[in-house]
Amino acid sequence: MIREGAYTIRPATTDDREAILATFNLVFAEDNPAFEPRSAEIWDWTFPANPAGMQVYVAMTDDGTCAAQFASVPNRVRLRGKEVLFGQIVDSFAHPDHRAGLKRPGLWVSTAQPMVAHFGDPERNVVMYGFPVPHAFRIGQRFLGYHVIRTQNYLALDGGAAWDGDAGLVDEVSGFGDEAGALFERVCPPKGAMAIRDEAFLTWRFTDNPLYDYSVGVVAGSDGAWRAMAVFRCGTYTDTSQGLIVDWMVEEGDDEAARALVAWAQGRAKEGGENKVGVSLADCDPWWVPLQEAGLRVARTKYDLVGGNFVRRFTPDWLRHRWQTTLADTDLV
Amino acid sequence: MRDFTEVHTAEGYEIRRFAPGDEASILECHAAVFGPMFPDRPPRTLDWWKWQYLDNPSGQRIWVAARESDGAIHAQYASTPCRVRLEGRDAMFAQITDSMRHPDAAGTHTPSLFLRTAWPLFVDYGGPEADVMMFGVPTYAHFRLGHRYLKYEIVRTESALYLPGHRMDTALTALPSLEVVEQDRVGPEATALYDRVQDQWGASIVRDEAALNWRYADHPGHDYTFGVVPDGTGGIRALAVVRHGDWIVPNMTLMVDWICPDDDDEAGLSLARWLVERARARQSDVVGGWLPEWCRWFDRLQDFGWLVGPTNYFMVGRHFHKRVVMDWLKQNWFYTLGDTDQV
Repeated sequence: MIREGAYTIRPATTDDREAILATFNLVFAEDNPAFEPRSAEIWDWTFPANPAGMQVYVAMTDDGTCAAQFASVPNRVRLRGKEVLFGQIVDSFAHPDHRAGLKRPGLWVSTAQPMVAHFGDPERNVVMYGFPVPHAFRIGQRFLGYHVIRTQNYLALDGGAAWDGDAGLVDEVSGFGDEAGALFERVCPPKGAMAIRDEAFLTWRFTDNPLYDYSVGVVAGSDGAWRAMAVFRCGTYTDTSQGLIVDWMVEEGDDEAARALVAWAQGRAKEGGENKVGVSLADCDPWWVPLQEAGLRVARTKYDLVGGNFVRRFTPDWLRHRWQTTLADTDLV
Repeated sequence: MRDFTEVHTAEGYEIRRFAPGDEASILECHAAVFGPMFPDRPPRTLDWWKWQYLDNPSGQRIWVAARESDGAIHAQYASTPCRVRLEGRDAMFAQITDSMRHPDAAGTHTPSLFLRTAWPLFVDYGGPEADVMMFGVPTYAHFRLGHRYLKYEIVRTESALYLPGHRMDTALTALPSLEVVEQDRVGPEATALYDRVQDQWGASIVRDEAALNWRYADHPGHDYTFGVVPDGTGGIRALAVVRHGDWIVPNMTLMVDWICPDDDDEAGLSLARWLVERARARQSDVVGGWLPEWCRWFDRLQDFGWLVGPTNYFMVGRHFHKRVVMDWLKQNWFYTLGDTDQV
C-alpha cells in the first residue's frame, strides 16, 4: 500500500468492485454513445473468477472513489515446458476528475508502476502484454517498459471463396473435458510459449464468459480423442464485422482437420450473416503458412502486440518468434 | 543498464563531423568492427563508401570520434539522408547506417564512445525542419541499445511477401503479360511516374530519376535491374527493381522496389509476372520483398499466390516531428527493401 497525495494505491479486493465499476462506467462512456455499462457479473468473471488469479491495483480516495485502476488478466502459459503466468493488461483508466491529481508522471502511471513492480516478477508474471491504443502505448513505453512484440496481422477468408474442406467432420460440443487438455499437450511448442488450453482455462474463457456466446467445433478421431478444435463467434475485430475463429488447436500436418474447421467456421459465419472468416494467429504459428497455402490471406489489423518481459531471456524478440497466440489470449473478442 | 546524461565529448578524442581525409580510417574501423561479424562479406571499399555518402544526391551526415594522438577514427555514427514526400510536402528522412565503435575503444569511456558520437548527430540533424525521422533495420541487440539511449522505437515487425517456387507455375498462367522493358538506368519518365503515384502514400522516399539512379544504377556493390512497363508514348506506367542474391534464403529474386499506380492492375501484375520469369531464368526458388500491409499490392499479389511469412527484421525509427510518430508511419509510410541497406 502506497500513499501518494490524496490517494491510497494498493491491490484491489472484491470489496472494491462497486467503486471500480462506477468509475469504469464513467470513463468508458466518455465519447462512446454505444457504451453499455460493465456489470458486476462481468467484473466478477474477468477478475476474481479467473482461475489464474486476480491482478488489480487501484488508487482510492479517502471517500471511497476509485480514482484509477491498472489491471491485468493472467493466463497460465507453458513456456519452454514450464508453467508460468503471462498477464494481459486490461481496463486501465483514471477518473476524469483525478487525472491531474498528481504531478508528473500522473495518477495513472503512479498506479501502474507499483502494480507492474509487484506483478512483473518471474514468480508472478514473466510477461505482461496487451494491445493498447497508440496513446496508451506511448505512455506505457515511456514509463512501464512496453515494447512492440509483433505487428499483428491475421488470416482471412472471404465468404464467397471456394474452400476445400469437409465441415461434416466437425462436431459441436458444449464443453471442454480432458480431451482439450490432451490436445493442448500435443500442439504446445516444446521450446516456445503458449497459453495452457486445458479444461479450466477454456471453460472460464468461453463457457462461463458472460459477454459472448461461443461455438466450439471439434474434429475427433475414431477413438474419441480430439484431433483439432476451434472456437467460433461472429463479432467485430479490427473494425470489421466477421466470423471469427477465436481459438485454434490443430496438430501440425493434420490438413484434413484444419480444412474441416475452416469450412465449419465459414458455414457458421454465413448463418450469422457474415461473409468473411478471420483467424488471428501469430505469424510464428505452424499453421500461418499452411492456411495461406490452402486459401486464406493475410490482412492487417490495427493492433500491435506489445509487452514487457520480466525474465531477461524472454525478450520481445524471443516472444515474437516463439509465442503462439490466438484471440483467446486477448479481451478483444 | 544504466541511464546516462548525454555527453558530446570524450577524453583523448575529438568528436566532430566527418572531414575530408577521414575516409581511410573510417574504412579501417569498418573492417575492424564488421569484418569479424560478417567474415563472408568482402571489406567495404572506398568506392562503395564514396557512393553511399559523398555521391548521395541528398547529402551525408557523419559524426566521428577521432583519436587526438593520431587521428584514427574509433567511432562513427552516420546516416544516409533521403528526400521524402510527406503528406504532399518535401521533407527529409535519414537512414542510420554503418554505426560502429572500434574494438580498441571498448571500455574506454562511460557512457561509451559510441554513444558520445551518436548523440551529437541527432542534435545536429534531427528536427521538424531537418531530418524528420531517422530510421534503420537493426539487430535486436542494437535496437535495445538504441531504444535505451537513442530513443528508437519500432515502426513494425516485418513480414516478407513472397512467391515460392511451387506456386510459380500457377501464377504465370494467371498473370497478364504486358511488355516489361529491362533497363540499367531510368530517365525523367521515372520522375513523372513517381509524381503521379506519390499521393497514394502519406509518406515515401522520393523515387525520382536522381534518387533511383543513385540507389540502384550507380551502386558499386550490387547489380540491380529496372523493369518498366512503357505507356507507348515514351512514359512509364509502372516500375520495379530486381536483384538476385542471398537474403532470407540463398539465391532469392528480390523485389527491391515497386512503383505502380494502385489503379493500374494490368501494369502491376505484368511486373509481378516479370519478376517470376526472372526467377525462373535464374533458377531462383523464391521471389520476395517488402510492401506495407496496407498497400494495395500487398493484397493483390496474394490473389496470385504470394504468401506472407515472418522475418527477423523490424523497422525502427526516431522521430523529430510530433505528428510523424511510429503508429502514423506504420499506416502511412510506403517503403520497400530498396529504402534500406539490407539488399
